[in-house]
Amino acid sequence: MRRLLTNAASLALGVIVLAGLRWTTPGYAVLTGPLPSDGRAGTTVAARGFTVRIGDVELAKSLRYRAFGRTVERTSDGVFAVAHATVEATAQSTSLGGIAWEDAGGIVFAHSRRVDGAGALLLGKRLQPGLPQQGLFVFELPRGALKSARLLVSESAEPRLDSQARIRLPDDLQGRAVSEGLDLDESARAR
Amino acid sequence: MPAELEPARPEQASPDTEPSASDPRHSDAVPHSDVEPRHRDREKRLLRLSLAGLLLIFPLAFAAASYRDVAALLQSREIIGEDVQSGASMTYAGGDWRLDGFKVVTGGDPRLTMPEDRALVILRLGVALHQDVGELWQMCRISLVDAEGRRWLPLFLTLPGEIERLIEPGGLSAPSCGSVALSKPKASSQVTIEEKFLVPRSALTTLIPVASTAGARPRYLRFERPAL
Amino acid sequence: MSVTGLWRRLALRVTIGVGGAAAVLLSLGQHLFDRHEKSEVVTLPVGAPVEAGEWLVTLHGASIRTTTPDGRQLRNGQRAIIVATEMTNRTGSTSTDFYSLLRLDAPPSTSPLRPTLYLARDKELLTQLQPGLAESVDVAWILPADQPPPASLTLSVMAKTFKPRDNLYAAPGWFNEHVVGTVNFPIERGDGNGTAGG
Repeated sequence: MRRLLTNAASLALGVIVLAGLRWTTPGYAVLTGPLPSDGRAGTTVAARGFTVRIGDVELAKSLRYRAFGRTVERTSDGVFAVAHATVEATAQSTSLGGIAWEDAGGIVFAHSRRVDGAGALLLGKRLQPGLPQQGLFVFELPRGALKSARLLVSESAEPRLDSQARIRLPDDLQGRAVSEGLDLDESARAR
Repeated sequence: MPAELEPARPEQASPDTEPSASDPRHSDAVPHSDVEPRHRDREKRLLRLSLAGLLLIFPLAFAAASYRDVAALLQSREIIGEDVQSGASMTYAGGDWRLDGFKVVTGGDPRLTMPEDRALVILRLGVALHQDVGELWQMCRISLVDAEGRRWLPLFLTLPGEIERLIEPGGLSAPSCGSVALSKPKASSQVTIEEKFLVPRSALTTLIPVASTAGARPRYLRFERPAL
Repeated sequence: MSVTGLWRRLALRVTIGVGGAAAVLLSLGQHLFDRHEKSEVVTLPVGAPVEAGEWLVTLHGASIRTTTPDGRQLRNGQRAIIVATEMTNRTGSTSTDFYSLLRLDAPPSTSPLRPTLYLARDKELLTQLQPGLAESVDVAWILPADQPPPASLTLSVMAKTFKPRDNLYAAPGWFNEHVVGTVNFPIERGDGNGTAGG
């Protein structure tokens, strides 16, 4: 009888320990996912192959820029967030394929493709080691996504076992003024 | 409820004793260790051999599962470097490779001025082919590496004709390594590879041209630059 | 062989086999449950938002044009059916998975399963939709030139279901596309030059 109880107890203990191990193991996607490098806006955040420094974040209802020989206008029912950034490759020539805005709830807004062709964009631009590049990240967001947000920057769009810089933005962005129109080329030149 | 097993008593065992079904201490479903010493020794030896076999099987299984990945890794990494003296050539990937030109463009003409912190480098490699290299030269990688190990990859840049003539007044521009490989040059021909790089001026003095192709990696070539 | 011996062997075998048996029975039961035919096909209203998995879509109307919404002229007498919709991304990240949301059942098109989508605001190809932002999207199917212009069209609205952990990578995703409902509505006729209707 005692043997049976001992066996049952050790079996139950084994089950509990194994269940606990299984529950606390992150999924495969997390285990093989991005390796974060955390930082704040205004400081230089170093990832494996690049460094990034986020400057000012401007908000606008519409954007304007010149591309393919004409002026392009983009409007939004939400808000455009334009972040000034300085990026530099550190290990070898590369480009940033993953630039996204993550709001406080974990919703991820990828870099806007509506402004493709604007010269000041850093998305996909070739970066050389030793030559920092200044430019813009452009996101289109609902107003609620401005609070306590962070930027996710990486070389590949879905980094797997590679660095992803996670940069906390100022908490008070949702209180900032939203301009009616912002010219991307002028804004990039001004900084 | 089975009675507790008593440990086997060697003095009770004899070579001809079989576990008895009628013996109330034993049952068919429960094995017991009351075997003869000869069997026990054989068991122990078998156990040791199996454990030793594991030491052999684990590495073999690992190798069998990953040899293709290791081969792919070797084909993509530059590990074994070979230095090519200035002015000399080195046999590599089906041809004799030679550094033909390392031109730094920082200005000299209003149309060629570069910002002060950077320079355009135009690298030329001449190769005398021994064999058909279309296959060997796949995924060829030409880069500039500095003393810290930072690496600059070629620009995908086609310069306007007049700018090309300013840079290279006498010669024609040559195709990139990838273009040359695609054109499948024939054995015993001469080809020129040209690649352009954008580098910081501060790194110019320590830059070393490096070349490798998928067919010849992990070996790669490091070219010594002519005296600056 | 004693009776207790037999019982013990049976108990042992049942204990060993109960896990496998349970797995087989569960999987069979689930398979039968999934295969149970959904009864009727839902008819969806025009002009009201429809929850379709990743998307919240409102259908506004359809027209026939000879130019695409981004201003390109169609050649060889081809015409396009253009359905005006409003779409909102309900997922947790920017998505481009909108090509299979609407399926053209009638009339036959050159590519009924994969329409071309245009952002009405920019009058350009739709590249992505951000979560939570509703956008006017024009969905266009090309009609073969030899067909007479149809009077009405039938669309199926497709949806995927969300799985917080998929079976392969334990990562969240949207799977198992199924029909939410169908819509049938008349096409407002353009005059072939695309200057009327819509």
